[in-house]
Amino acid sequence: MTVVKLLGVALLSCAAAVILRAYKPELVIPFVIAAGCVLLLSVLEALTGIFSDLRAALARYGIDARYMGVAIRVIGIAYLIQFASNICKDAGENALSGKVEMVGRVLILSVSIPVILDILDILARFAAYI
Amino acid sequence: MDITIILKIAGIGILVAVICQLLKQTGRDDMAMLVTLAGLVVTLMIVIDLIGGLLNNVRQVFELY
Repeated sequence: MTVVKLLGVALLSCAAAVILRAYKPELVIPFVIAAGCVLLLSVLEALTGIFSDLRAALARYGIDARYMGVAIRVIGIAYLIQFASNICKDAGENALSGKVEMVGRVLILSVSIPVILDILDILARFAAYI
Repeated sequence: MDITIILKIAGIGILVAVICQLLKQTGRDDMAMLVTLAGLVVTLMIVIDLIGGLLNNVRQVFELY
């Protein structure tokens, strides 16, 4: 049921944005940002349940909780960066959108450095046997 | 899932458009400019609150401290 509701809201705000663009182009950007925020907010609640289930499953298999934390953080950064870069593209600022995506890559890399180091350690230990 | 915010902003946009057309017809272009600015400011105030709420939610859900 929520899919239908979300799609309805998205289509409604899209139609309103087209009308608004005809009369007042400068008011379209805040409107599109607001519509995007409302849609994202309505989906966020479901994510907390998903993440707690995933964490419980990983704990059962004995995988370190830190990796799950990094994965969640990376998803969050990607979530926000994609939201911002699409809005920049929608406003016609393609250069800005590219910069936002580049910032996102750097942030994701900075978050995932510990995991990369762990992998290198494991590889080094594994290489010792060969 | 409060879509009232979207409808509120759409209403502001259309209202500002209508008022600007009216003011332009009567030849008062400076007032039309002021009305457009006022509409933009009000819309941005609403949107800023919304973005703040979204970012705080995302920060809690994804633990992006």
